[in-house]
Amino acid sequence: MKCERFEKLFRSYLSGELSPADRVRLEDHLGRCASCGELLACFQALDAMLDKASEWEVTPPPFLARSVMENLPGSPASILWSWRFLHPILAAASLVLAVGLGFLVRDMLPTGQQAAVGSQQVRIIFFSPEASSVALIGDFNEWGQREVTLADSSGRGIWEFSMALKPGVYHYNLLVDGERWMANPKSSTLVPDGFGGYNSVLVVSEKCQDDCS
Amino acid sequence: MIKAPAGRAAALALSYKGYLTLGFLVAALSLLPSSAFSGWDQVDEVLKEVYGEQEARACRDFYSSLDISADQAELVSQAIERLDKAGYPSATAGEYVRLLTELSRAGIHLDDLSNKVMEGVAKKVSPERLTAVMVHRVDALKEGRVLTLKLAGDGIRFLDRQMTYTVMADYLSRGVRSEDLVASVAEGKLDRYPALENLIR
Repeated sequence: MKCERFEKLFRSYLSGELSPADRVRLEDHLGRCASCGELLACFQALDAMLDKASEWEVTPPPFLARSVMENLPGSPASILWSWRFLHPILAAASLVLAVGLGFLVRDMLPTGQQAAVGSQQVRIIFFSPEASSVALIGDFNEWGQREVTLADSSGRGIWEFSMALKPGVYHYNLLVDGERWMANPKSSTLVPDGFGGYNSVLVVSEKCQDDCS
Repeated sequence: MIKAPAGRAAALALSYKGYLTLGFLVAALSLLPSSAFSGWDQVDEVLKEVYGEQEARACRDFYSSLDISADQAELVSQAIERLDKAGYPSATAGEYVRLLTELSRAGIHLDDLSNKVMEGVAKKVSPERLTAVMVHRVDALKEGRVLTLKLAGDGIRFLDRQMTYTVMADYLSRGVRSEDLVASVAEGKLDRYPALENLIR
């Protein structure tokens, strides 16, 4: 057997994986061939050095990572879908989705509920058995810009309306049967409106939790 | 070799949580009133539309140096629009804008006067009557402010000074003398002025 063929057995010999017959033949050769003996000694020294390599503290040079990355074969598909490229795309997509969701929720909320954020529930009651309709008109609906109608759920002339109002001072009137402006007699504060009539005053503040009338 | 993918997966999961949190924050921000991004420009546009460039420029001279919130600007533009739709002369809107500058310079919010204008339009009062009421209201608000600041200087703590200006103006319009109002508030005798009860700490 030539030396080259024995050299191929060195790795298995050192790891103890060589068959007993090959082992006997190799050791017989090593006893007769000095160069193969030296080569095997080199292999043994290299193995010993590699075994200790895990204990070394090695700091890779700063250019190593860049150099490795630059020499990697490029693949458009893998670059496109790599985390590095997906990161900003996902961030932008999350923002767009969140803003869209926010606008959607806001548009879906009824106006009354939007106003209800940080506001207090106020109930207005007006007694008028002879009235056939009562509208609430005041600062809270820009004096009739949005229609607010009281309901006589009892059928006995007790007109009621509940709404959420932010803290503030609100002047209002009741428009009875679409033609008669009047202040709510139940209101604790009435003030002249300057136009010859009176306004009811509603003070909503953080202090009036139960009764803001 | 086994730990690395698991660690990376954990990092990704954390990132998704971060995105979710960010998403909710942005969603909450977008729930804020959209009007928070407008201002005097909005009033300007309405004035130009209603009264033309020349009138708008004259009005702009009055208010160009003023500071106004977006909500107030929206209310002002609404009031001007309603004056126009109801057929009031441009002089009424001009007087309204002039009075707004007085209020703004005194540090009084513009909502009260704007609401008074819309009330007058709703009640179909004459332009002369509306102008007189506007002037009277501004005077009352300014006096209400003086009284409130005096009381605040004497140690009375108000929950909201702007609201107090309005309520003070209301009582003054009702004929209450300013000395009586100050004395009652200072002594805590608010049974005759219930609207003030919810405004004092």
